[in-house]
Amino acid sequence: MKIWVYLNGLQQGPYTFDQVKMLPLEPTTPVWYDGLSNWLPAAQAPLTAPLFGGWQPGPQADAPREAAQQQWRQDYWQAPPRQPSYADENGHLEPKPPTYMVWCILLTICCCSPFALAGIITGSFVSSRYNAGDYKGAWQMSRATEWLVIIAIVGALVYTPLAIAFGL
Amino acid sequence: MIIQRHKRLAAIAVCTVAIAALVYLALNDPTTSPAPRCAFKAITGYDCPGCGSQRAVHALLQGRVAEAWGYNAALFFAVPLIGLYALGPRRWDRVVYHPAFMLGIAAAIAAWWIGRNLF
Repeated sequence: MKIWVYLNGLQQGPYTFDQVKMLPLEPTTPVWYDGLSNWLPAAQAPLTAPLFGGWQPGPQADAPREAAQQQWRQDYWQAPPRQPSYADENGHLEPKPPTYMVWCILLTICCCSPFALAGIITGSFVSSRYNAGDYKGAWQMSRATEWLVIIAIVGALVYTPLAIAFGL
Repeated sequence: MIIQRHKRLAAIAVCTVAIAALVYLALNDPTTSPAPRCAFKAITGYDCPGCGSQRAVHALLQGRVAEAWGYNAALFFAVPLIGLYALGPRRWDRVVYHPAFMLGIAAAIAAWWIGRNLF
């Protein structure tokens, strides 16, 4: 699991979880890792939350610390850090999963397939999840879209000869 | 994965079927020749989004554009749209693969489906 953190006004990472444990994280330090759709305060991200035990946002923090957190929050919200680009070990950007839009529109119009119409909608979820950084989710939606397309194609291949043969 | 792995094969298959269908529809009137009828229409009696496509293509290939528009107007938007996704330059991806744009297409098809049966 690669984890990015936003510390001292900089986006830093990727770190392993063990490395993150060594960092001077505050409960409000923004963190991001694959599976989060957006940056979260460290105390609220499921992976790093255990590091802060029963921390609750509230007035128990002492004044200088509170001021520092305030500064971080301000940096973070005023200039939201870029999400890390999805680079593999070689530094290549990962391609977007296929959305099968050509198939879906073609099958919707030519074969009136409700599966293909559903495929356009799941295809749009591929895009929105990919844009939100949910890379695994985008692939799941892409596979769902592909199966809708396959169902629509098989349906058309089975139906068309039958329809012609029986003069429907 | 299956479609993605055999992308070229799939493209060839689709183009072959499309050309065969175009040649067939150029030579035959689908209202009098054997042609698959829409299952949705046969069952419900309502038009589906693609109903009239075969008659429209036949009319278009005979040069009767207005008549084709009357059979299925959505075809005039769907064909350029398919071309856009199949052949459009990569720098348009930001627009054509924007979730709102894609959902808009689905909504437009749904609206066309309902609207053409109402009016």
